[in-house]
Amino acid sequence: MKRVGCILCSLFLLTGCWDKQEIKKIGFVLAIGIDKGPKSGEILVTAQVVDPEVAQGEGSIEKSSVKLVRNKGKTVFQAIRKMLQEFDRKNHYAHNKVIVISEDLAKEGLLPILDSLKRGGEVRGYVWLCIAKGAKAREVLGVKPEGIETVQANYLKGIIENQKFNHSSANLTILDFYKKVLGTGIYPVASSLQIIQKNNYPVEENSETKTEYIKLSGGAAFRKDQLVGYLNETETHGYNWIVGKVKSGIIVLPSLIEKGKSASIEIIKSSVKIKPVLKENKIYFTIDIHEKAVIVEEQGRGQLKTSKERFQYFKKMEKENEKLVRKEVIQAVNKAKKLRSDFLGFGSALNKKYPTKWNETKKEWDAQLSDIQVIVKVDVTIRGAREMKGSFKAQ
Amino acid sequence: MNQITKNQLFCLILLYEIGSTTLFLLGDSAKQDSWIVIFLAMWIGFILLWVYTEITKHFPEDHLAEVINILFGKWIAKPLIFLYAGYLFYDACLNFFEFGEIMRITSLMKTPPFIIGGVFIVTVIYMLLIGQQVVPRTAEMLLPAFLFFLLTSLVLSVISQHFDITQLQPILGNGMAPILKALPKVTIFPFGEIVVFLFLWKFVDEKKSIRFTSFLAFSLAGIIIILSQITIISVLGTGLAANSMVPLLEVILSINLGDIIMNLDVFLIAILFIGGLFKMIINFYGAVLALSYLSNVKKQKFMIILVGICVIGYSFFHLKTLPHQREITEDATALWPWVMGIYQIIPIYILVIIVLNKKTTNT
Repeated sequence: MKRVGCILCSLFLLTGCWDKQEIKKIGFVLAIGIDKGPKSGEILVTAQVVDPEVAQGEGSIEKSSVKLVRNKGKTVFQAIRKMLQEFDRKNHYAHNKVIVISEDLAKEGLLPILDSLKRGGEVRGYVWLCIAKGAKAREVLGVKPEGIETVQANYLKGIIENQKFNHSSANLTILDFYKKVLGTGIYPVASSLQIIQKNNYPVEENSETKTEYIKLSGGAAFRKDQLVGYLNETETHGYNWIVGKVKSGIIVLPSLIEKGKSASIEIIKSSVKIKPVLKENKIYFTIDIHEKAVIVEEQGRGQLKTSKERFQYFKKMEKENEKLVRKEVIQAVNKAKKLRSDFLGFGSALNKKYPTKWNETKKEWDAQLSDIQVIVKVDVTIRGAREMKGSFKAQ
Repeated sequence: MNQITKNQLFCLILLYEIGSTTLFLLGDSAKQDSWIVIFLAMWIGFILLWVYTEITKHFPEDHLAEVINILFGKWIAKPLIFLYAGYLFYDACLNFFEFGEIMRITSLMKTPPFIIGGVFIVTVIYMLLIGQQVVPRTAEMLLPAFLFFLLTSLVLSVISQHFDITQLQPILGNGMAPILKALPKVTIFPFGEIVVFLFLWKFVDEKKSIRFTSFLAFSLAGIIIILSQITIISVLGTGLAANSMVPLLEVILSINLGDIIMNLDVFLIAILFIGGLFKMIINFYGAVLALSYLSNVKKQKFMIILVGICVIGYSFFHLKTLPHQREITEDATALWPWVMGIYQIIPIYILVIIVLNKKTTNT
């Protein structure tokens, strides 16, 4: 009996009431946007707080499921605390999904901005880091979700995670950002989010004629922790090939059967090896890309009668595909040279193979980047053409 | 702690050795090669362990304080034993203090340190007071839980998206120099701390199995430490790992499997508490044994409570905050770099004397 009494007492005494957090008193922040404030040196932080009752009610139409809370301050943390002067719930950041940073802030360097979020330990490593291209971060968070998800942050997250179907965009987690910035010989490329407009159709029952969407396109390249430029989609293809982040994607090639038509190839799998070669104290890099793909579309009208013809056709498509990938890779390399930012990780590859050489050159590496020779080898295997043997021809 | 069985000894050593290593990036000055440092330190640890178990072979029924007394006589023995008592006491204080502080940093920001520490120390004192068998049996009971939490978090980190083994490259990029430089520190902590078991081996019931069991537990602990360090570096990279207060927390928080398995900080708390408890309780008990031998106090209970109060007092009034404690430790190691290794080296000297003694008496 005495023991039971002791245990019961402990239950009440050892619960840690000092740090209790009542779920009814915290606001769950799902996305953070950070902008420059109106005055110089000021930072404007926007937090997207989910309204649990609305979000739960399966997307009520009258009321938005999120609130945007924002305030400014000299530091990020000051701004976050100041929000509470105007907002009734204490914000909780552990469930944050996305951090959006405006481009003018990113150009000055991200480490000071992200410091308080990382230090607090509440923002997890898998949070997505994005740059608002040509827009304010708060505007990106303010776009109404036009997907299925009712919570805007989940909509953003969904778009960012769709990178795995699409090699035209880059994505980056906070942990990867830190790993690359604090590591040696490689700089990060973050997602770049744009706001675009599209016309509405009557079936969507929208009172506006145009709707704003968020588009994930290309990438935002950094030197150290500073944004130095954007990659367009072709350059992003090249970037993804080189860093091995192509999981899937569509390559469009001119059809070999009928002129003026196109064929699509879906990438199934890709792998890459960057090898530094040191010859007479000169460095060059070989980039060895292997791609497995299938033909998913052939617009050209015509017929490939024999298996031999079909096989020949695949071989030719492989050659075309290889040419295109090589071109994309070269474009990405040229972009890196132009931005003087080694976001492709040549330095890191050099460090892994020839650490002494890297230690000698790492100080002038960014400046020397334009002298780097790159040899690209691409090997494409087309495995087939899905469920059809050849293309069709109207009789 | 009379009559520790073979299994219990195994559990105690494993828990003690892994104990607080989860808090640090060991050998961080060697960067991505730190696992090599740990590997080498483990082998030096084997040599030390062999020496220590050899002493136990010669004096199976005595703990270190008694051995020192027999070999050196009262006048040299007393200060030496006092030195060991101080070392173990300080180690226990560090464990006690660090675990409390890390608790505060990671989850209980506003809870007064006195409450966290108080609950901790009361548990320790209680466990030691209520019977000799409690600590080893608890070790036997909690080891599976400890290993489950630690290994699960490691496995989950490996299959999570952030694991990148190439962070370990280049291997030996800066040559052997940084490795050799970091080696002494890692040898002393955690592997050299096994010296505390010189106080405990006398309680083991099967004396013959001591060496085998100790080596087994020791090498398993070494392997687990190496694996966790490799995971930490592969997930965080050396830059972030060296900069984190608790690298393992950072690793565990970055786990996200399909948006379902995530936010596992509770795993870390379990690892911290089980590991920290045993690390501290063993150091604590070693200090109690040394001090009660020194002061001829027959009632160990009195000594346990006294040392417990001293641990609290020292932690709160001297160490104060974590940065302050780290500064004290750094200053101390800078001032007397030899002092950290001396506790590991003295037993070697003892063994030499034992062997010489045997030879002279034989002839």
